[in-house]
Amino acid sequence: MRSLSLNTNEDDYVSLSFKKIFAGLSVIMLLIMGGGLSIVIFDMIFNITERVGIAEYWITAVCITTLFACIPNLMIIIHGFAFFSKWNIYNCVLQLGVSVSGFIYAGLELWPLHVASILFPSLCALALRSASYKQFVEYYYHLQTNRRQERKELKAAVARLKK
Amino acid sequence: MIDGLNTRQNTYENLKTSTLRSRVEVSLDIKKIFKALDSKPETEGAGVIFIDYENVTITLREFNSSCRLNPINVVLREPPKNITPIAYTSTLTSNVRESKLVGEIVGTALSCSSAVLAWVVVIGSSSIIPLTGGASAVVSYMGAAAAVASSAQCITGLARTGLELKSPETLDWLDSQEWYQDTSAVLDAVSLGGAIISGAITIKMVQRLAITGKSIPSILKGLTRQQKASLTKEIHRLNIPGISNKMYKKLLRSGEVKRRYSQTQISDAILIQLKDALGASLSFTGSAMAGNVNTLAVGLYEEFIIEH
Repeated sequence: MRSLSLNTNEDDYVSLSFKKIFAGLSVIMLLIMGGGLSIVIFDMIFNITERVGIAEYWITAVCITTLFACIPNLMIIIHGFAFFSKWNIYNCVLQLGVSVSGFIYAGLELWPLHVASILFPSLCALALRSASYKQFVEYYYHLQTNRRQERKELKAAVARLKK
Repeated sequence: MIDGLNTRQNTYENLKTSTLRSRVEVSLDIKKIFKALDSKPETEGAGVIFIDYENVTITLREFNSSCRLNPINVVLREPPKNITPIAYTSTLTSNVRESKLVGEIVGTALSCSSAVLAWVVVIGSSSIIPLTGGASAVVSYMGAAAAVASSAQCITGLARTGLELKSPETLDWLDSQEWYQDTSAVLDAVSLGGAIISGAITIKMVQRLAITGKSIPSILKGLTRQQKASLTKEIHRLNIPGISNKMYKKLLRSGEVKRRYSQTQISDAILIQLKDALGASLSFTGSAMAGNVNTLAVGLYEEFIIEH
């Protein structure tokens, strides 16, 4: 995959290989999957459904988890805001914390749930540390920055020529 | 020789069936069971099948109902040897839950695959702005909405799987809630919308490429300089809406815009959009299997309470 710029040379290409796409997608999907399991583990530890009700907890937890996983990644991909990758790290650490606490709290009871819930954020942490993921974030940062710059220049050129 | 063996086997099976039938008729009050079934509108005319501990099956009564189109059958199953009735009941109940768990895992896998494809569309669509022109913003935002909806479905699927393990009764309660069913339908519709928009953008791209007068495979193979220039011009016109011919020529002369994209740029952009289209079609398939497009429902278990 390559970026298509309006007025750059072919040498200016910033390439996006399948390896980088895989790293980016892995982070997104692992955060989503880890988030889904964290909802159950979090309730297991703090017993929130009994305090606030199943529906209330379910809606709030799914909304928060979805937005916490989606907003940073959409900001990285659509607007090229590279600093949002830090949010992914915070999310991953939070999920790992919840999963480990759940494992300590419940022990080997429901072990498949605990194994999966610890595995997803751990793999995500590995993917977040990889060079491919960093290049994936960098690609979108450069792509969107260049695109904004080009639009600005094009508008300025049209305005200049109109004069 | 083989014919002889088959005949002997058939005779043995017939003997087993007739012995079982006689045993059932002696040990069970079949007429009372039929009467109990017919007294309830839900089971009126239902067929009755009996399976013994050796898995020999006999039909005690064929389905025959005047007010029901779809046949229903009540299966009476004898517990296998060496298992107490209570243990067998709990095995059957856990089998139902195990099937439900498998169902949840399959559903989760489907919704997460749909989320992967939605994110592939988001990742791809924000890199192909020139070829799709003004529509690129629509695909990015609609694709983003679809990605959020699919992600929510994936998160819900995983949480449901966890809940099925932790407290199945909570999941049953959740399934019975109308707001939950409505929310799931809305999420499905949004993720489907993303797939449709991606398809529409592909059609737009194909229309855009039609100005070259060539098919997509031949465009991927190569375009002449004139064809590349006319395609580039069309793309620029989309990026600067309402630009006059005179202004466009001025921009070209001043070197502000490219006269023509290279073959690599055009081929890459088309390939990305084709991949997105493939993603969208798979997302549509996912929805067709478990969502809004689907109009068929398949029930695996049906429970009846019969009062004696």
